[in-house]
Amino acid sequence: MIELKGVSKTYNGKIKALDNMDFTVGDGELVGFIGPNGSGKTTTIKLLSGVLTPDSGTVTVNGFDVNKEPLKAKASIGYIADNPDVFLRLKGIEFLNFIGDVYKTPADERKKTVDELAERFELTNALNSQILSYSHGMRQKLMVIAALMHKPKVWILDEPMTGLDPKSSFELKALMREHTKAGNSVFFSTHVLEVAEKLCDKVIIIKKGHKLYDGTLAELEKRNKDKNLEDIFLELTGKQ
Amino acid sequence: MNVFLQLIKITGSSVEPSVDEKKRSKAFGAVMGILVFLLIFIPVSFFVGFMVYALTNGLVTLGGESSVAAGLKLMLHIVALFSVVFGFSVVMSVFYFSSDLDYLLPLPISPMKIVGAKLASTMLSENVMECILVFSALVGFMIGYGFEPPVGSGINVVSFFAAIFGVLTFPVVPICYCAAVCLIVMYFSKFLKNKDRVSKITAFSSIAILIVLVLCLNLSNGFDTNVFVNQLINNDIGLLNVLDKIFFNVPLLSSAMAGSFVSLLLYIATNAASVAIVMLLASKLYLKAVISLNGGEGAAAGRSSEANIEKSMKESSQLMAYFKKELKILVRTPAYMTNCVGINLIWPIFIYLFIILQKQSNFLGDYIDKLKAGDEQTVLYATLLVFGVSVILTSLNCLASSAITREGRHFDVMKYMPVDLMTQINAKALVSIVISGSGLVVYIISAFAILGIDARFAVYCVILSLLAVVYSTYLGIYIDTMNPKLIWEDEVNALRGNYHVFYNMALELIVTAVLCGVSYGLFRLDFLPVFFIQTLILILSAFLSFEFYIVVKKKGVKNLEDLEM
Repeated sequence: MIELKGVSKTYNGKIKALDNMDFTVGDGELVGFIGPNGSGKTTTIKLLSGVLTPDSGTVTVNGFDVNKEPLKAKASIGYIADNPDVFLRLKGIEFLNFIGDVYKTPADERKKTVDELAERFELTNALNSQILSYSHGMRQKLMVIAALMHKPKVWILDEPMTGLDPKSSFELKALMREHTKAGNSVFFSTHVLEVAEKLCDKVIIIKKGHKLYDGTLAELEKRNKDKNLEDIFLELTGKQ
Repeated sequence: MNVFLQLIKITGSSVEPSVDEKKRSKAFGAVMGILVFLLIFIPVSFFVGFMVYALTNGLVTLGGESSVAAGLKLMLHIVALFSVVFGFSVVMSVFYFSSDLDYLLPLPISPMKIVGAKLASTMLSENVMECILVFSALVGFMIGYGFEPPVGSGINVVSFFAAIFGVLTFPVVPICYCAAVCLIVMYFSKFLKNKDRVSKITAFSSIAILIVLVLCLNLSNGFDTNVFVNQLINNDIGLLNVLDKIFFNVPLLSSAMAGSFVSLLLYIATNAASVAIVMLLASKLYLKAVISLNGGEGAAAGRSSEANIEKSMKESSQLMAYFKKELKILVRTPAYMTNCVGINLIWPIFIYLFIILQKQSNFLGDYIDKLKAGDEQTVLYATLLVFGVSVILTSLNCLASSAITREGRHFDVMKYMPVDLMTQINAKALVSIVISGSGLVVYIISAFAILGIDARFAVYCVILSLLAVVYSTYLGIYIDTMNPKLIWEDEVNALRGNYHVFYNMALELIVTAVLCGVSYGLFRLDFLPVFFIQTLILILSAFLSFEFYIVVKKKGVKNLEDLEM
């Protein structure tokens, strides 16, 4: 469960990135977060993950206020940042073990998850190499495995499909569905409207820090008959 | 703007602080800049200038006209030598491994222009400290030689022009050497075409050169000041003669400073020729080598096995996990390995020099005898020396003062991990304490054992040294939390563009000076016996360590919480 209430965020006291944002991602919901470049998607995700602090409003994840109980909130999130170029001098396996220690995941559990997900994402053979030698897609896959290792209830993913090959993208989407079917929440940003269309129970569309739409795709399409999602999106956000 | 000038601006930009960093550090940076200038630059400049002045003055009186500039030459050779030793890794990084190459190489710009811009920006960034040292040496020479010396015609208008050219262009030849060697090595050696391996080999080769040169001084035959001055007068120092040939610009500049117009012209011409040769080499060798570079180990090369995953999945505490992660990154990143870890390996060279000189000339004989006999004043001096050396060496390796800066663009990771920021900082501090502290403990024990000093005093010094390391570490980290340089193109620039090492050192010098002053005052006024003063120093060091730990815990953590990228 994710909840944002009246959240605003300004950079350097001048640039308003988010203005009084409210939304909820319930248990068992898979929600896509869509908006043009610079609309505030990454800012929202950074607020959810505790990287940024809001000027006003509250951010709650799994019942923990991210700013009042940050460690508990963070421990319950599986987070994938927009940039997978992290700790490049570590080997893949070392990075995963480090994440296991940080999230206090028991050794046998982390071994089981790594075995399963590395196989699923075809990364097993590369785990003994430094991340520096990985392609962008391989780094992204490693981040996915790391984020899911401690079995978090809430997944917060910033552009998770970027750089993934079709098979890995398919696997990740399947994992997201499995996760929500088990009663957990997934919140992810994307630029690919087809992904949102096929995958999400609900979409949130934002522009310049304001929420434009929050609801199911079926409802959105019902309101805009004879239009596909791309046309609706362009109409809502304005053709640039 | 001219393409070449734009390139210089782009290639040099990652060393400069970003706009946000400049805003954050305005007042703090100004105050610390003044302190660094007063406490580091001025004393170092004064020392260099005075050494050249004293040597020149002596040589003018003792030797003939030909030896007048020998002292200046010696100092300039030392500056040139250090420029080469420390310049290799910088040139290698700027020429071949900076991330701006990803954008520059696809552009329709000739390799000569790219190398020219990179050469210019490297020289500009290397120039500040070098300018100050060369300026001080030249001023020392001018005062020592004067207008009407007993030999020679004294300084004249040519000397002034030579001084201006010398200060502005002295790094040209050393940096051109580094550039030429890098261009040739990278072109011809396929074995070396691996990013990390090349950088590490280059860095450790530089340290090896320094060790070989120290050994070349042939100090095992003893050191005698009179013999050394006579050798200088007779131009009879083998190493200097070799250096004259390598750094051909140094004798030319020295001679120009003594008034030779021809030497000045030759100095300018050889500088221009050096740049021309590097440009020529660049046009032939650069592009092919830089394009064929690969990064790190190929992913396919590493085959992970079931046993490997099983073995790797071991549980550790959050603190130990961060400590191991930090240590691995430091050791595996060439720039950090050289500047933060490897630099600690240079100090044994100085201990070696110190012990050899001591064995041959026994210049500290009285002092060591007094120390062994427990002379109170000497014991106090030794105590303060251990404290001062410990804090300075800890700050010099910049492990602490770059602790947050090294996170760079993935500083966010520190924030989204479910780990208390102080735990993460403690892991970074622990790395600094282990690396700096273990080095110092080994050096203190070896030096005391070789010199035969009381074991109890050695134990006291080890404890004092470790406390000084802890205090220096937390102070360094606190300074870095105030305004870390998080935007950098490559790791070398992360360290070069981070002035916190100087800020840290300036503050350490103030604390050390105060401690020395108070301790000496207490001793001279006969307030307390030296044992009590030693105990007070130990208590004060423990207090400083604890106090700065608390400062980091309260203010340092707050600084990081408020820091947003």
